[in-house]
Formats: sequence, structure tokens, C-alpha cells
Amino acid sequence: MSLPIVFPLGLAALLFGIGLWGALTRTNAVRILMFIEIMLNGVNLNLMTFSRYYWQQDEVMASRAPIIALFIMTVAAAEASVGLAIILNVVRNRGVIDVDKVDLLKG
Amino acid sequence: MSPDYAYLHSGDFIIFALLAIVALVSAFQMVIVRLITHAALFMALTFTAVAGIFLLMQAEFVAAIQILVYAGAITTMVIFAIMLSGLRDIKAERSQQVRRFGRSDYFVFVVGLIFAAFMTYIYVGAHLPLSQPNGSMATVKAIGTSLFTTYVIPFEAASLLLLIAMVGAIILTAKEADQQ
Amino acid sequence: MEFFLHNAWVIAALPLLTSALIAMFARQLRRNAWIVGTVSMFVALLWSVGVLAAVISSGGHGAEGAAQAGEAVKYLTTPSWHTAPWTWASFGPFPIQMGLMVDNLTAMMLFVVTLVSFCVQLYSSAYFEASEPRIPRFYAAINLFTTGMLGLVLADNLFLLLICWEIMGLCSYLLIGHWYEQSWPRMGQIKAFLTTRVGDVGMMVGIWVIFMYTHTLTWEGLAHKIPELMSGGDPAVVAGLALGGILLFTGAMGKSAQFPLHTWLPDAMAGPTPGSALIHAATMVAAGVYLVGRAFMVFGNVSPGVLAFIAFIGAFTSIFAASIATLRWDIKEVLAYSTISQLGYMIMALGLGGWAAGNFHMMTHAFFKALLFLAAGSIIHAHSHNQEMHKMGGLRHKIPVTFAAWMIGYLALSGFPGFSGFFSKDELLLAAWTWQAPAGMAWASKLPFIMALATAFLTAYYMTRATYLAFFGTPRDQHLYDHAHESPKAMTIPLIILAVPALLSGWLWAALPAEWFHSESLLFLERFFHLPGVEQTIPAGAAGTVTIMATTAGLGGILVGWLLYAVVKPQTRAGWIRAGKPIYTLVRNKYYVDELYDLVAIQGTLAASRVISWFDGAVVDGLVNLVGTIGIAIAEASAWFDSNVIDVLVTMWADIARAVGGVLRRISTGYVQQYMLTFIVVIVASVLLFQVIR
Repeated sequence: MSLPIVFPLGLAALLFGIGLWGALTRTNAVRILMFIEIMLNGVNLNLMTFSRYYWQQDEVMASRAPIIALFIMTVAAAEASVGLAIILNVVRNRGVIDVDKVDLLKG
Repeated sequence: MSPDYAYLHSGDFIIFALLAIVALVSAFQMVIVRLITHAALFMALTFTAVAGIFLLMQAEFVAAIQILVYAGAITTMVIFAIMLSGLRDIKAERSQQVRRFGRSDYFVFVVGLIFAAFMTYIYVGAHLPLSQPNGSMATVKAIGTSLFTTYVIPFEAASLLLLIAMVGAIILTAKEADQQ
Repeated sequence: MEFFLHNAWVIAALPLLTSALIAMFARQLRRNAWIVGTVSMFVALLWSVGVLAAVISSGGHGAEGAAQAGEAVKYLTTPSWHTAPWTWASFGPFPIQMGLMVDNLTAMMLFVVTLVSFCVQLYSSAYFEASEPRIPRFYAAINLFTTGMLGLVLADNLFLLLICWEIMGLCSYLLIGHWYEQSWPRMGQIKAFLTTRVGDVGMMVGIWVIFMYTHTLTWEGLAHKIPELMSGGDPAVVAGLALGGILLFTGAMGKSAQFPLHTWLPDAMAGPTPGSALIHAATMVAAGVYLVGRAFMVFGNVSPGVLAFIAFIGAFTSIFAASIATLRWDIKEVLAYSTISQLGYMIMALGLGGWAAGNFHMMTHAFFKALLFLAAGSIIHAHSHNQEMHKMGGLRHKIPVTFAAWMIGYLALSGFPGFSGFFSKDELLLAAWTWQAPAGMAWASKLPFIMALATAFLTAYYMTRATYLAFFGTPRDQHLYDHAHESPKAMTIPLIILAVPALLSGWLWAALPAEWFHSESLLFLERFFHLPGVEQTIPAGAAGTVTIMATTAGLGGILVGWLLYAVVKPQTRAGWIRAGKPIYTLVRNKYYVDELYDLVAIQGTLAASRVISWFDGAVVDGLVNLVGTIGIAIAEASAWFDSNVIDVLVTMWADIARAVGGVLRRISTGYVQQYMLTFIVVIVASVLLFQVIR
């Protein structure tokens, strides 16, 4: 296998970038949550890539990556469930899903 | 960088390229598609493509979890949320976004691209291993062993976190309970 | 027996499990929560009896244990059982180790705590009204609290002790605020939590100071390390350790409600009475005393001023609280101040070096004060939840069992000869009598004794007053009296159980009877509570002298109380009160400590803001006005300059300010995404910049 490491890393960075783009420009709260998941996925991909490519150099260190990836997924799942619950509540109470209309922080 | 471009002909590269294109295109589609249900389905597609890349890296367990948790659970949950909130038909309102100070589509797109390009630049410049070695990565057995020995406390903490998230989500959404 | 000893952790684990079970199945259990709690606490009680028996039969540490160990480290007891240390965390090369241990004091405390907790849980099964909604919550908190207390006595280091200490603080908060719909419990719980927090912060800082010097927190390590550091003689270390000792003691001051952190305990009476009996009378508040006793290797080894400080705080608190108690009308409040006073006694004894005496009094006090509180709860229950002694009277005919139990507790607390409190108070006073103040303070040597003797008198007096008002005389509120009824069996049985040790436990260390009967077994606790390094030389005849004085004070207090309330007419009493109006008002208002805190903490802040406001108005505004005047003067002097330069400048500044404000205002759009974007741009830019600079 001879795929240069830059390719998967670049893919991860691009996924993160697209996720960022979406998360910052879309106003639908559910959609923002989806893009956050995409960003987390990019991070996971980055982690797994490094783990894969450094396996021979430092097996102990590299074998921690899958574990961390699993924890990231767990936290992402928890975050998604609570986040969606909060969004549902906002929709129920204020009738909007547009984050720009939830602007109590406005100065 | 090695001037050798032999990898361009390897099967791995072709599979990777296909998956990467699928992932990137569907992620891009997520941003621009107007119907949110479609965006959710594109998200599932992205996750599946990334799971394929995990498989390519011989991380079978992580790939399986990726399919289960992301492509399965989270996508389902998002679609449920869309259905429950009755916002299926809300479409992206593009006209509004351009005039918002500093947050035009293009500006942020450029920021994201700069970020990605910058990271890639760093990767290219760094002394990273050129190609991955042969042989297998962490087996499911090894992951399981370390998860239940070395990382047992984080593991339990994660399960507690999930429990709390579940209870919290139920409390937040169960409107019937407090009406009684 | 050995089996119980080597699995002593079960005693602390059982209530924890029970608490979790009750909390989980609260909906299913509802009123039946007491069954789970009582059964599990009964098992824990049996277990701790087993531990106590094992410790006694193995001879315990005491003098024998230390002799076997070859060398007795000063102020360190030899545990009968000790787990292997477990490293909780490492700070560089210095690990914080945790473990459990059982020594004589621990074994006795385990027994006391489980016994009182068992009685309280049984008692509570009948105490609450049928409509009470939060019974499982009460039981879960009581059990969690018991875990905290048991863990605290089992801990072999300061750190685990602190953790359990905080668990108890939490449970205290929950129990005081049990009826949080009303405002008194809600205020009381916050007050208790914040006041003890003041002490706890001091304690945490103290622990860190001690750790900084000793690099260990286990009792064993501290007992070895502190004398070593002290003998090094570095003045900075000596001062630092003394500071650490004082700070550690502030924790005990908060938890054991010592002056000036005593104000929370009377307000803690807003909780349900059984909870008060367990937490705010018998056990949790004794945790501070236990800390002083257990960490004696800290207090005893650092400079002697620390122990003297502890002793005087205790002595002052005891007489201070006792005098307040003489004028309280709420029966629980009388007991609360009495608790503060008795805790002061114990702290004083420990500070005076009467280690065994202090712990002895802690044990007897736990029994008779829990008994008194439960009896008070029974009175309140019988009296349609009235706590005011104004309206009681003549109740002895209506509630005979409660009356008998109360009398036993009352006589024990007053130090009536033969009851448990008599013997323990005797030992305390003896420790005070024989105390030698540290150099330079020789004049103060007898001061604690005088205060303690006066407290003994006052204690007997106010308890007689409370007893008379509640049980004797004629009913003051006929309606309430007619409805009074004896409590159900579930409430009287715990009273009977607790009455036994309240009556008899003093005979475990009865110095004078032991002399008369030549019986060694009557001196059992003296050896059981022996701490290596604490040597008391008792001059011949001192024991007799002190006993006579203490008995006179106690009986005198009873007599005065009886005379004042049974013989003297209320009109005459009122006349005397008028005669001593200033003192009466001072004491009746609890020496205005609450008001003082209000003044210092709340009014002080307000006053400070008023000063600042004045400064703002007079000085800052004056300066501004001055500038304005100068500006006018200049303007008058030169109209041309004014209109062409100053005006332009002024409007320019205003325009700048508005422009900046307009720009800054736009940053705060309220759009979360906007903030996120800024965040990302700044990160990317700064990393890029970093890359370029490098």
C-alpha cells in the first residue's frame, strides 16, 4: 500500500473545512448540528490516518487512536441527542428553527 | 516528497480517490442542497464514504462503529428531529445570507478553504511517513482489551455521559410529563 | 470477629448502596423506604458491633499495641486493621495515598454512628405525616450521610476525610432544606452550607499547606514527618505548619459550629427533627471534634499556641452558647445551642490535651443528645408540631415514655451523678483543671476550667428550664394539651434503645467508682482511648476535688432552674428580667452575632458602595465639573478658539466614540455563528502569523 499520507489528511482537512463552511453559513439549527458532526468526522479521519501511518514507529502510541476515535463518537452521539432535544424545545417554545432569530445575546 | 508517482496506479489509490470524491461531493451537496431531509441523507452518504476510508486503513472496528453510530443512529435521530419539529419543508433562504455582515457564503467558504489548504500545506511540509506499512492495525481484540483494562474508567465515564445525555434529552423533550 | 474487622469497609459501603437503591426505586418505595434503610443499617450496626468486639478482644492499639510495635510514635494510634495504600493521584514524586483503617476510636465511632443512624431511621418511619411527599429523598440523604460519616472515621488520611466531610456537608444541606417550600428551611440550608463552606475553604487551604511541607497526608506519614520538620527548627516551616494547623482547625470550627462560625447550627433546626438528631446533634457536628482528635499529630506537634487557641475557642464557645440557650423558647433551638456548647466542651478538652476525655464526651454526647433530640421530636409530634415551649407544660402525664427518655437525656446532659454525662464531663473538667498553659500564658491556666465549670452550671440550668416548661407545671395551651398523645411504638422504641447507653455508657470510664470498688473494668475507656504521647499527670486528690465542684455546679444549676421556674412566680421573674434588661436583651438576641454578620458582610458592602458613590459624586464629578469650568473660562476668553477648535475637537471625539461604539456594537450581534466565525478566523490567522514569524 503506497498511498501518500497527504491524501487522507487533506481529505480530512477538506471535510473539516466544508463542515466549517456549512456550520457558519446555514441558519437552520439542525443543519448546523449536522455540519458539526461532519467536522468531528474529519477529526476522526485525521486521527485514524496518523494512527495508521505511525503504526510501525510507535505502536503503543498509535494504538490509542482508535480508542480516542471511539470516545469522540460517543461524545458526538451524546451531543447530537442533547442538541436535537434543545433544538426541538426551541422550536416548540419560539416557533423558529433559524438560529439568527434566536438572538437574545444581541448587544 | 517522492517523485515516484507509482501509487497512482495502485488499487488503494483508486478506491481512496473514489471514496474521497463521494465524501467531498456529498458534503458539498449538504451545504448547497435546499431541502434539509436531502442534506441529512447526504450526511449519511459522507459518513459511509469515510467509513470506507477507515476500512481502507484496516480499522475495521472503527469503520463498523462509524456506520452504526453516524450513518445509523445520528442520521436517524436527525431525520426524526426534522420530522418531529415539522420543519421538513423549510428551505434554505439564500437571499438573506449574503447581506449579513462578514458572513457571506463566499467569505466563509474561503475561510474554510484557507484552513484546509493551510493544514495540507503543513502536512506536506512536515516530515511525515510517506506511505503506510504493511501488516494489520489494531485488531478488535486489542481495542477491546485496552478499552476494558487501561481505559476502563474513561469507558465507564463515557457510558455515564451517554446515560446523562439520554436522561437529559428525555427530560427536555418529554412535554407530556409536566403537563400531568 | 476477625472477619468483620477485615471487612470493615462493608459498614460504609452498605449505606451507600442503600442510598442508591432508595434513590433509584423512590417511586416504588415511597413510604416503605424506611424498611430498606432500617434493615441495612441494622446489618451495618451488627457489623460494627463485630468490629468493636474484634478490636476489644485483640487488645486494640492502646499501650499494648504500641509496646508490641516497639516504638510508639507520638500521637499516632496503631490501627487494628489497615488496607494497603492505594495511590489516588501523584504530584510529581509525592503520591496522595488513600486507605481505610480501624483503630479503637474508629471502632467506637462506627458503633455510635450506626446505632444512632439505626435509631433515627426507625424513628423516622413514624415521624412523618401521611401527606409527606419526599420520604425516599429523606432516607436516601440519611443513608448517604451515614456513608460520609463512616467513611470519615474509616479514612486513614486527610484527603479521604475531606471527601467524606463534603459528602456530609451536602447531605446536611439536603436535609435542612427538606421542606424547601417554606422559606425558613431554604434560608437555613443556604446559611448552613455557606457558613460551613467558610470553614471548609480554610480547611482545604490548610490541607494544602500541610501537604506542601510534609508531602504526605496519611496519619502515619504526618505523625512521622511533622516532628521531624519541627525539630529542623526552620522558622518559616514552623510558622507555615502552625498556619496549616490553624487553617485545618477552621474546618472543624465550621463543621462543629464553633464561635464565630456557629450561627448556622440553630438555623439547621429547620430540617425534620430525626435528621437534626442524626446530623446536627449526634454525628456530623462531631466530625469537627473527630478531626481535631484524629489529626492530633498535626495540632499537637506544631507550636503549642495552636492547641491553646483550639482550647480557648472551645471554652469560649461552650459558655457563649450555653448562655444563649438559657433564654431560647424553641425547644429545638435550646438543644441546638446546647449542642454548640457541648461541642465546645469537647474541642476544649482536646485542645487541653485531654484526648481520651474529649472523645469520651463525644461518645456519651452522641447518645444522650440523639436521645434528647428524638424525645424533642416526639414532643413536637405529640404536640401537633408546636415547638414553642411557651405553649407546652404538664406533658409528663400525656407522654410518659417520652418523658422518661427525656429525663434520662436531661440528667445525663446536666451531669447528674451516675448518668453518662456526669462521668464524661468530670473527665473534661479534670483535663481542664490539670492543664498547664504554654509559657507566657501561665495566668490563663485555670481560665478554661472556670469557663467549663460555669458552662456546667448553665447547662444544668437551661435544661432544667426546658424540662420544667415542657413537662411540669400546668398546661399553658389547653387546646394543644388535650390533643397531645404518646407517639407510636416505632418512635418510642428508638428512645428506649438510646436511653440505655445514655444512662450507662459513662460507667465505662468512671474514675471515682473505680477507686472505690477497686475495679479495673470501670476504667476500660481510659485505656481504650489512650493516645501515645498524651500523658496526663493528675495530682493526688484532684479527681475528687473536681468531681465535687462539677457535681455542685450541676446540682446547683438544676436547683436554680427549679427554683426559678417552679417556685418563683412568673410576675417576679418578669420583674427580674426588667431589672437586668440590657443583659437579657443582649443574650436574648444571641449576642447579635447574626446581626454583626449582617452588618459586616451585607451592610459593609452597602456602606462601601455608598462611600464609592460619594467619591464618584464629589471627587470624580467635581473633577469633571472643574474641567468643564476651565473649558467655559477658556471659551469665554477666546470665543473664536472655542468655536473653531474646541467644538471641532469635542464633536470629533464624540464622533469617534459613536463610530467605535457602532462598530463594536455590530460585533455583538447575538448570532452564535458570527461568534464562531470570528473565533475560527482568529485562530487561523494567529496560526498563520505564528507560521510566518517562525
